[in-house]
Amino acid sequence: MAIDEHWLNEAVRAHRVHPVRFAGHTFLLDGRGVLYCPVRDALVVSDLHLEKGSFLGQFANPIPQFDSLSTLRRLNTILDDYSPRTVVCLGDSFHDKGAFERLGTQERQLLQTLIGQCEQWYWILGNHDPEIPRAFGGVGVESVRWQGVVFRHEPERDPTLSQIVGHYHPKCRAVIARRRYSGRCFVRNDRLMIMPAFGQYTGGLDINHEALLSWLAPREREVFLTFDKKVYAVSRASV
Amino acid sequence: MASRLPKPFYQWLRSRGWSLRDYQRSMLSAAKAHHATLLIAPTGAGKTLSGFLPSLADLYRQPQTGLHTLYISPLKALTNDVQRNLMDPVEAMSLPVTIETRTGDTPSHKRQRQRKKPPNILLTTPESLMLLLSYADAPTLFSGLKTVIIDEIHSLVSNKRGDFTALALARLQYLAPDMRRIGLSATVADPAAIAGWLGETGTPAHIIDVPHTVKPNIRLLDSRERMPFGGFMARYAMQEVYEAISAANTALVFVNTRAQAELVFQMLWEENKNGLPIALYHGSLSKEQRRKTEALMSSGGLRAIVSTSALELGIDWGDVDLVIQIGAPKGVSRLLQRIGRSNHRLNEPSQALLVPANRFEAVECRAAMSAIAAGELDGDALLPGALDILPQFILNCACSAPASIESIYQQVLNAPPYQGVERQLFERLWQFTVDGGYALRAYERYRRMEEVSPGEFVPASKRVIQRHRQNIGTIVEAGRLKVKRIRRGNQGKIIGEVEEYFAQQLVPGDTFLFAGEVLRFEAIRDMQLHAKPTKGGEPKIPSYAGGQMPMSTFLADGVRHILDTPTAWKTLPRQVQEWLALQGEFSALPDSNKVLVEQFSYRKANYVLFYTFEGRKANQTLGMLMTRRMEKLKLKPLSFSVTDYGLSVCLLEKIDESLLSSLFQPDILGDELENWMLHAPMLKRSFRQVAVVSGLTEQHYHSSHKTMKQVTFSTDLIYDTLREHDPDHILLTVTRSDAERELLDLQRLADTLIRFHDKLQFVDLPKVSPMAIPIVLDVRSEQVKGAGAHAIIEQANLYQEAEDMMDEIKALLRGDR
Repeated sequence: MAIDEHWLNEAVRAHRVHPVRFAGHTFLLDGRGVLYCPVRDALVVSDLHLEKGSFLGQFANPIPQFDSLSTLRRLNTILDDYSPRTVVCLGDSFHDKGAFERLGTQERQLLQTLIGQCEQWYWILGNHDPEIPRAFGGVGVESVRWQGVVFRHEPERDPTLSQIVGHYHPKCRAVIARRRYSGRCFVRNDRLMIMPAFGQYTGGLDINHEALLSWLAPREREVFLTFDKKVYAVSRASV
Repeated sequence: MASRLPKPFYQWLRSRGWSLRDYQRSMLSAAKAHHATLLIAPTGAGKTLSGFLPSLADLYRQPQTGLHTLYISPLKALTNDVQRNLMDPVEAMSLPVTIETRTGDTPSHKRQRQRKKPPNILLTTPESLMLLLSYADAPTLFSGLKTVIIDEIHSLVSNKRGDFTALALARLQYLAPDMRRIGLSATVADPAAIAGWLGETGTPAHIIDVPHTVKPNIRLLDSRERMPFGGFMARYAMQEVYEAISAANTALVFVNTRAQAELVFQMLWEENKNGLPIALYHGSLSKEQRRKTEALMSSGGLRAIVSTSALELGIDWGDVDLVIQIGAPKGVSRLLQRIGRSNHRLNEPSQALLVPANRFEAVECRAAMSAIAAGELDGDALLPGALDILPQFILNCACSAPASIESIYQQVLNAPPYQGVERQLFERLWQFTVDGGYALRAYERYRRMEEVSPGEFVPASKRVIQRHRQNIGTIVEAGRLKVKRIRRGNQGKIIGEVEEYFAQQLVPGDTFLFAGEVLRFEAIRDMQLHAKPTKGGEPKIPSYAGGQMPMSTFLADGVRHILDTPTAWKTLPRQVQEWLALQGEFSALPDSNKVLVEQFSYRKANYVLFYTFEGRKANQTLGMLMTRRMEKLKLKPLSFSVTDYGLSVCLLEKIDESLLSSLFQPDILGDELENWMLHAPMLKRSFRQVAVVSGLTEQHYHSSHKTMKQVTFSTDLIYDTLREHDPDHILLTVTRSDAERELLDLQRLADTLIRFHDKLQFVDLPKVSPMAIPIVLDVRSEQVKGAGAHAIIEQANLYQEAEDMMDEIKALLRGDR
């Protein structure tokens, strides 16, 4: 744990992080799109979609393929802030099966360094990356359970669980005092927290899309919008 | 004799009661004598027929199979209209000539047949032509081409679509070296510029200029109703507009945006007690709907059409005897073009009625009328060709036949807008087309083009070709959703399109106005917006990002002149004169020696307005720079919006007069500009266009919509990535030159800042001034990301709980768990 009281006071005041209570524990939502769990000293990040650029490149899309590097460098900065004992990647960390091979030397080295800095690194398996080569370091698992909270890629329809998931890439548009804001967001209710996607080239799904509404109805959900590296609670009326 | 027509043509002209006009005779000889001929004539002069006469005569003398003449029109609707008009002489004289159209609306079996067995005369659009040029049979198809006719050429100069057309012409010339060019243009300010554009590089077209003889008869509505200070819909005047329609045989009602078209149409029907047949026409309606309206109009079945610019070019139907312009005219040439839609007889004046939507627009209308009376026109300065189109062109050539860098470079240089493109720059664009041109990572495996023999390149796969063809075109449009009008279940008819952005704002149950009726939004299914007809409610109006027209700078000067000359006010409607007097009393009137600056509160924020009259581009740039400076001075700017008259900044703090000189200060160009260029959202916007046009990202993707969804993550993310990792990338160079071309107008801004920086007239007002109303009501504002935006997003009441949780975390941090 690298953060201290001073850092926390500053970060909360500047809206860089926002504390929330979920399943009886307190978590910090970070405006850069990650979640930190102080009790467990764990950092949670979702949907990195590494090598999405080169995946599209295979179809002759000349998109610049620096996305993995960007994603990993942003993650690196965040890990420097928190120095967590544990990192949980909530699935879809790699865009496709071939991503491991396409990963460039520089990206590979950076990723290995990041993994090496933590005591534990969990790769939760997602629909894009149902397998993770063992040689990569880190542990590939279906889900992580910890004190009543389940971390997995896609949520399960089980009302007894408290789940923290990714998969949906939620984003929202809010109108506050006649001004429009839009960005990736955290969206939750008492039982389910859906994380924003972290990958550089990830698009998003509006929280009012039926796929997301079926999990989190407008009346019971809370939305935390990330905007310009900061995070803001957004009232129900604004989204 | 080339300048004489074959006999039957004279008989045909006589049978119509016409005779060959002098300039039509000169066209016949000029088309033979010159490689390129530009005909400039007022509407109603039989311009289009003149362009075709040489070809028709040629085909009469020497009947042939295969393509003889290609006609390029900027509008699909125009090709249908021209075909209709050409069939008349062809059938009357039984000419051995086949004529067909080919546009995006042409069914695919017909398109395939046209490539195998082309007509003598093919009528098409620039996009469809480029698509034709991408096929392997293009060299055979076009090798015998004798003439290309470009209609409404003035609308193609100095925009990307024109650049694209110029490249297509250069390619055609390469395939058919003997091809001659004929350009048809409405009256323009600078014929020589268009002649330069039309010819090959270095050989401007020969000009035939037919003077305007009769000035149109234009009336400015002096309403008996109360004219509003702000607003853009002219609801107040609808009864009078309806009366004017009733008094005319057939009227064309022009509006500036599709949203206006929908609303005006609705309002006219509310007035329509006599049940006159009034129709609606704009580019987002479905093809079937448009065709129906076109047919009704040409058979004389309509009394009025409410239309956007979709009908303003060259369409020649019916007996339109009145043109009504609702809203500001935006430009003198544009207004003249619209007015020319009425009365297609050369020697009688066209009739027009101008209906300003607010009092400011009345002044603009007056300025346009004065300019027309004085025979002055506005024109855009010629711009160098847009670079993002070149990768598209390179790939297009390679799709058709193996391409070498040297050969394509020479063709590019032969297109006048691209004559200055340097070899080195071209090579970088070429490399981008081949493999993306990235410095850091070479993507051997992912090439778009590969070398088949030394120096010869072809597309790397069928897929590349397919994707290229699906994305041909330079007009970047927002994502569109088809609108399905549901009758029962999921059954219904497609009636047009709205922008995705608009559709996303709707929740089920919302009503909106489309294709002239109120629809209730049901759902979005399979990329279609399902909606049912309904009644009542307060419908929303779809907005279209592409629909806004910038006003010409020339007209902005005219407005400033009127404001500055109280003696000129007499010609304005009394209500407008009263409004100007009120402005003078309440605040001040802008004059030519000072820049008026107003400050007032409105909707809980603070507004500062600079009346610069320097045109949209310069004001836009000023806005970007000014808000950066304000951010630095902790004034918390939120957004700004620009008109051609000035800049309006919305901010949280009030500004003090003493701050003004550090805001309106030439040094913002030095200090902020470089910084701004790198971070500006404006540059991201340019990049959005460049990325699509150059083929970096696609609008259309061949397989499922699911795949498209994956590709359409924001180009802003790509921009950030590219700037961070490959700052010298060619597309960033292109983006920057695009922004400079489309947005900056630095010279004009610098002159203004120097001239006026100590000549500001600051007025602190308790509320909005009469003159400012239409400006603050204009909602198209540019958001500023900064302290102000963060201050507003913070909804304080939502953070109580967070406070309570802090203690727990702090305890954890101290290690006592």
